[in-house]
Amino acid sequence: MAAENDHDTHDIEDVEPIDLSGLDPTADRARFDLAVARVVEAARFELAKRGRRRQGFSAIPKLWGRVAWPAAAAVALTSVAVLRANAPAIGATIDPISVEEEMALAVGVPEALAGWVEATESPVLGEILVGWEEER
Amino acid sequence: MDRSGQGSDDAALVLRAREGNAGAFEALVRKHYRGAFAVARSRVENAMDAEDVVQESFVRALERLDDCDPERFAGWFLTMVRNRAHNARIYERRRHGVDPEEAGLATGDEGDGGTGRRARISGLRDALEEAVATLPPVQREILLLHDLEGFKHAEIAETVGVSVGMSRYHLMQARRKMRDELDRDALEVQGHGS
Repeated sequence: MAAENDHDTHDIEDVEPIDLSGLDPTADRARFDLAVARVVEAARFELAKRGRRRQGFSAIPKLWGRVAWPAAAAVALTSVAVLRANAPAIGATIDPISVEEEMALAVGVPEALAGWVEATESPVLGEILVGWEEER
Repeated sequence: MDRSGQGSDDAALVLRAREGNAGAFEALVRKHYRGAFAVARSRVENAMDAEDVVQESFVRALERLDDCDPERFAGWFLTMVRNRAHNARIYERRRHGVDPEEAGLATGDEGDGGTGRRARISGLRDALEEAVATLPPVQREILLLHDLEGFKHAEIAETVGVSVGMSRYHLMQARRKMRDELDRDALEVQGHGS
């Protein structure tokens, strides 16, 4: 804040500075330390309040974690329960025909051969070749 | 006294004190105690009252620290000290029913029971206290801020709310009055001693 136009050395040359060190409250070190300690002690409550407030802010992520983890666990448990309730029973047979038919269509098996697949009968090589040729 | 960079130093301390850091708050107290004392002493009747005002002002400042621009802590805080000292003086005036200063009782010490002026001027501190008490508040404040705390006139102008020119003028007047007062006291002491 010191100003450039502050000419302290020129403005009061007719009246010399007075030594005010006798009034300096910091001159007596022990007394000054005591005064500072008194101020800090008087401010103890406010400092503690501010410290708690700061801890409060930093605890927010921790608090969120505390809430989020149980919530995630509850969602997981519910999901497992729902999946179990709706899943087919263990050991239940899956219709082999529909699967094989779908597989045949997916891999592009000729239509003539799909009938063999659907009938679950194994064609002989000759029948396969005939079916293949018909498709062409 | 080098006061350069005070704003940024203060800013760091203010930010930490806001979080309840006692060390930072204590550093602020140590740094601004003398300036606060100078301002308070210019408004109240004695050093003890000034110390009370300083203490209360620091606590109040901490409570309201969120309102303060950290870079401008010094000016903000000294304004608070000045207001508090002013209120303390009004309170004293009401309590005693008269303004001690206006009644010519601003002697630096209270209730000496008429033991005589020289009895109080037993040391440099008492002599200075008494001489300072004879100054108008604005001259007292400028003298103490400049000669005790090391403020520049530009800083005083900003803090006290006067022009730089008026700050110089008041300082010159204050020093003259102080010197006259101290010389008179010295002569009186000599006269009584012979």
